[in-house]
Amino acid sequence: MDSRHITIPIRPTRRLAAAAVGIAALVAAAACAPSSGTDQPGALPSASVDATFDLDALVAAAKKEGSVLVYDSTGDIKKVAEAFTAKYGIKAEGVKSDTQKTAEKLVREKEAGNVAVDLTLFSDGPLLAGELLPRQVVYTWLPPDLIKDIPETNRNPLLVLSKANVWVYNPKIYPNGCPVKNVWELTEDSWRGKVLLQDPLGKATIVQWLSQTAGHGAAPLADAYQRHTGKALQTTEKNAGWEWVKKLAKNKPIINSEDENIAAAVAAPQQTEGRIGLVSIAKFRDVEGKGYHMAVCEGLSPWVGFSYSKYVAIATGTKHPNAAKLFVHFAMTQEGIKHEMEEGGVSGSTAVPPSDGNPKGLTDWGTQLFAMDPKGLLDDYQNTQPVQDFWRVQHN
Amino acid sequence: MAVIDRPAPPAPPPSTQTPASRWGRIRYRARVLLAEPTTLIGIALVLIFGYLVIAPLVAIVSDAARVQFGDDSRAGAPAGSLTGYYLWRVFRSPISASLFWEPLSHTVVVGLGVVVFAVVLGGSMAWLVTRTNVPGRKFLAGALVVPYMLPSWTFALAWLTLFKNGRSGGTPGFLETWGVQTPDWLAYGAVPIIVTLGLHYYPFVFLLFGNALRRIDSQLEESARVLGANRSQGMRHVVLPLLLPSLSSAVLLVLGRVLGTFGTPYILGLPTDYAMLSTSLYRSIHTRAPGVAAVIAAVIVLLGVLVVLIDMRLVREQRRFVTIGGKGSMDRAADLRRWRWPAYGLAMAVFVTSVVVPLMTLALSTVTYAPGVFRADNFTLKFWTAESIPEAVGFPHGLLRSDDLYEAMWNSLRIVGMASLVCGVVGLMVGYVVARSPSRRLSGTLRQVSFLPYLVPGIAFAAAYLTLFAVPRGPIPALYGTTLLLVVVMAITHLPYSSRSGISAMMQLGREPEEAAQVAGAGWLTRLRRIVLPIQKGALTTGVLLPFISGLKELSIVIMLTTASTPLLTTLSINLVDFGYRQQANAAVLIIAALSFTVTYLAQRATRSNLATGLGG
Amino acid sequence: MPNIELIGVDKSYVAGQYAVRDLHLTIPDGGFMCLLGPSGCGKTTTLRMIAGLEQPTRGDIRVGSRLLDSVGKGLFVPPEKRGMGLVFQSYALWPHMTVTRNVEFGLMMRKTPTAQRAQRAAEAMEMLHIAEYAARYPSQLSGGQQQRVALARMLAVDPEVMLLDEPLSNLDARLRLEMRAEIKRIHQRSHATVVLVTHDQLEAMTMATHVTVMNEGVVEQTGTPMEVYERPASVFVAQFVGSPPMNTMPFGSADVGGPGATVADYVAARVGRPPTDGTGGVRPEALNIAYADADVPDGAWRAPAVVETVLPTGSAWTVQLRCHGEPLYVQSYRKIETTPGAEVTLWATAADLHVFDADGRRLTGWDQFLREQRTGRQPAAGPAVASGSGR
Repeated sequence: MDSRHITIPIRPTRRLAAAAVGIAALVAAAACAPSSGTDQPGALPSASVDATFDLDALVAAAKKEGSVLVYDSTGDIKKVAEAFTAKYGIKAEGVKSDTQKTAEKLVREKEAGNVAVDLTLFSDGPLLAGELLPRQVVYTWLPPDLIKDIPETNRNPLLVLSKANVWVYNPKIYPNGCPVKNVWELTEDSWRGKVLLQDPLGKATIVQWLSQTAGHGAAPLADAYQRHTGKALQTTEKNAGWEWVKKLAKNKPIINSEDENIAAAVAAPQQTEGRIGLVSIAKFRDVEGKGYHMAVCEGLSPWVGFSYSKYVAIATGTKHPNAAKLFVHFAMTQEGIKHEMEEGGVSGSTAVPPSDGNPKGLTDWGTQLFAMDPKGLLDDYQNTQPVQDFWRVQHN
Repeated sequence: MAVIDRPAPPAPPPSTQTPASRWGRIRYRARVLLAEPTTLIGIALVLIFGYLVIAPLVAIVSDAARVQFGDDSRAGAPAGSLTGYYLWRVFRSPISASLFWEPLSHTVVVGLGVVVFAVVLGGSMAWLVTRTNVPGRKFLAGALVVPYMLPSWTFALAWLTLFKNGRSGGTPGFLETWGVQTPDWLAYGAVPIIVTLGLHYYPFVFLLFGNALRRIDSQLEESARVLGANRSQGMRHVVLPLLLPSLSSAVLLVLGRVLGTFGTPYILGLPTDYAMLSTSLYRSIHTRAPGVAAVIAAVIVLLGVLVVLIDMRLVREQRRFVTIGGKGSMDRAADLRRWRWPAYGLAMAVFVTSVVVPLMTLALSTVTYAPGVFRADNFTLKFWTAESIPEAVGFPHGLLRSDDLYEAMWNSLRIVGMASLVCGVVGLMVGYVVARSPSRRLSGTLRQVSFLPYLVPGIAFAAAYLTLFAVPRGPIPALYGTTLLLVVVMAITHLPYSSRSGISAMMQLGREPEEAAQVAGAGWLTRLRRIVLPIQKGALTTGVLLPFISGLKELSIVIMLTTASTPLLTTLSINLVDFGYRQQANAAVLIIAALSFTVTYLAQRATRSNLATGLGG
Repeated sequence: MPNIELIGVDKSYVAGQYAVRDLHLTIPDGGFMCLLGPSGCGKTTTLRMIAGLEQPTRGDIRVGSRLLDSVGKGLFVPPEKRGMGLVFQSYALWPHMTVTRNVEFGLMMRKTPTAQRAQRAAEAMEMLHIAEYAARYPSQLSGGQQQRVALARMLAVDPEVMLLDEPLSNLDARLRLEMRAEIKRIHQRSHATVVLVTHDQLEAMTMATHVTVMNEGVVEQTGTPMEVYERPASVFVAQFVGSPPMNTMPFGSADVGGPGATVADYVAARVGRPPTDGTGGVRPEALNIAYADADVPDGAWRAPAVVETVLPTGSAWTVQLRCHGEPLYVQSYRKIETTPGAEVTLWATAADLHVFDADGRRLTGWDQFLREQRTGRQPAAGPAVASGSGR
């Protein structure tokens, strides 16, 4: 005892873990452990259309609500929000957040009944159609005065904008145009380890693309195979779509987490290696800014890339329903959406003229790009996991 | 017989003693407990942590056993019912190898590798700086901590800049431009992950080991030598056992981080499909597979708990013997003689690789148009200072010209600073209770619960918090959307640093200074304010600075828990990345590092303390 | 000034094991009580219980009329409200405060007005000759100076009860002597009740007005230093107090010199039939060496021994001898002329012989015999008196 101040007695701590867990369990039970996902999945609810509509009344009501908060996966939303505020005098805030975080946030807010995010421009269609809409986390609202310009297929969920990912090459290395004429070439030895794309296990739009390719992309792909090799495709997979995905996965494509890196790998000024990459058309702004040598793989059969859709949906429990509706309305007009179309894109409304920012070589979205079938969204939602598993197995 | 008798029984007591009734005894104990709020505070802390740490944890893990929305057809049960589907999917399904088992083995390999790398590097540097006469000790002591202030991905970035080959995107690496094709094993996967994480986390070992080495009385080693032990025996039998607690502490901190970091493994592992548990978890979260994510998260937490238990066992064996250097403590530097300058060279090499290279890589990227091109016309300062950059539409000026930067800096300082202060004070309280509480159970529980958040990925925590605090619960109002919640969550997730530092500091401070004050008439609060806090200001500073450094780099929690955008430096940086303004984005990262360094430097100057003081050991 | 009472105090950390057991202790008002005992005897625990830093598991502690602890009544006064002074073995100076601030702290807690506070702190520092270090920090002081600061810190508040926990054990011999005098002086000036814990019997003898010897949580003896020295209540006390320690001889150990030579027989011859087992003891300074049997006075206890070594200390001579395998010491302030190996006879008068029973307690019958002898009366003869008889 006289040496107490020198030696630190350490108390043995046996059974403490157990005690901690015990206490934990009790406390957690008291806290009513929350969790995501207990609702039943269902079919896509129909879009909401107001029976009577008066834009001025909506503006007035929105002004009364005072503000609106919108989440999007691109930072461009800030510019849209600024324009909205400038036009209506309603405080709008745009926040960039990737789709997964936005979805998590929307679901949690809805469960908790404390909704802060009023609406979202959301580019993960399958998740929106398969989960957020059926669980009534968000709903689709159609601006009645614009509905005549919105094609039927774009209405549920409401497509605000199509963006595109395209195959690109380096015109400095290949001055005579794209070295690949057919997507099946990408699965051949000559392009082994030279094809770049984003991580299908991490990036929702890529999964959706693979899923849809394996679905309604099968027939065009079979034709393309025929054109490329001169004979019909023999496959043990379900169809030509799956076969192509399999062959692509097996051809050791370079997986990257960032579009930025893919663009640089293909087109950076000092690049000497010939590569093909799949990048968002937004990356074409780097062509000027950074002196990239990048061009769309024009003439690639059957598609030079794919278009994916960004939808808009209003949070079910929003405290600013009118401001949110007004924002949807705004986003469906050229005045609103043009800020997100500077590097190309096609509005969901035919009244909005096509962007003049589309990259050279991408002239006709309808024929050049593989388009996501909005009817396939629910299937895509169910297919996400099987497609990823398939990719995982083939790529390893 | 009557003559020799036993001594008479002791004289009757001068006053009569109050008979001890059971009730009186209980009242007495209650009085004693209430006179000292330690126990009450301890219980309060356990309850608060129980709610703030365990409840979200249970919420996260409970997803593993319930069918998640959209999985009903695959799991063969309606959503919300109990299921073993996710366990099957992770552990036994055809893809479990790529989903779990391979990542697990990679995690073990990388974990061990990083630990060895960090211990060798940090340990040898700590020895050089604390126990030898290597030149520039003072400079090195500060400089070698800097790697921890950089976001871990900057090391990956630097690595790729140097070593990458055609298998990853981006501009060609240096070696590649010079015509050297680096092999895949050097460019990607285990080796670079181990090296970069090791370079990032060795400061933990450096700090802890250095602190322990500084405390070890060189007389202890000398007396062993006098008794005939040679140098290596002296090391093995005397010095190493004394260092073991700090070693164990450092290993724990490093392993905890390796388990949870996904950025670096993701960037460096992706090109060769080298997945770790953290990347597997990240991918599951990102493709909204909460069931699978919960299983993997649970495994990560279990692994972490396992490491903690091993640490506790080791420390229990060893720490009893830790002696506090009293007045006999000697800070005798070993004379390296002709190895002085080579040793200096080695230390500088470590400094250059772990600080200068990543910093320069970042800095260069902010002053060049195209990365990696070293031509005069490619260099510019405009991304820092230009009044107008017309082509950068979203951010049309140099970073330093932007009001956004200053707003973000202020927000970061304010929010992270507040959270760190809370952390520091709570951490010291945890230390106080752990060291002073008469109940072993209480102190042990507190010790462990306060470390748990270290093992849980921030994004998972943040999501659970959103549900917990979006609505009023009992006396707690709906905190969602307030800065307060952000502060609370940041404080909780960074508490492990502070509580560790608090515990070790309080363990080393004997009771006597406080008892002396108590006898002198100081009540509990006065003692805390005038004795404990001033004596522990070094540990308190560490307990504030480590969360601050780490919190300044935090992103997921911020995005998840702020409703309106409160721009912080990290969000500013990520927004700039999104716009493709890589130069300004990296400049923002440099500003984060500079802010970390400045605040650390100033705080240490002001309190005459050292980051190492009291981090553990 | 109050007297301190501990009434039936138990302290146990682990059920069934006692650090202090059934302690009854009264420290008289203005007294200087020394708690003396080996490491782990419960003396520091007792001190800390008086201070309130530890709590008894049973019993009451009161100072004057004020009940501080009562397990029975459920009453506890926390240390900060007891108004005592305590000096720790480690001094426990606050490293972040200057000497002055250390010394002033207690006054500050007592809300003494600033001017008065400075004056009293200055007085305390003056008294302990540390005024010149007032602005230094504890780490800049030597051990002895730190000790003085610790004392000044206690003195500044002028407590009625001063508690000192081994205050001198970290000092070197010269400083220790100096501080002993200092502490004694402080006690004499302040008239406070002082409790000092030490394992050094010399400290107890020199400073205290009262000594309590403790062993394994139990009080062995309480009394004035001279009482404890002259009439140790047990073998333990006899051996603990005095240096070199008292020579002890088991009853049966010295029976080579023929009848009358064993302690048992010697005792039995005077007070009657002794218990079957016990111990006799003689202080080294009361033990004499005779070179011839004739030199041994009549009636003295005697035993043959062999000189092993002579240890002169300068002022005194200590001789180690061996008597039937037991080492014995003789101490004298006159020079002892002898050589190692010499065969001598040791002797002591009956009055210098201490007798303890089988449990190590002092045999009251022996003391009674001595008393009676001193007053000139004959020992009470009883039927049991049978000198030289076997057992």
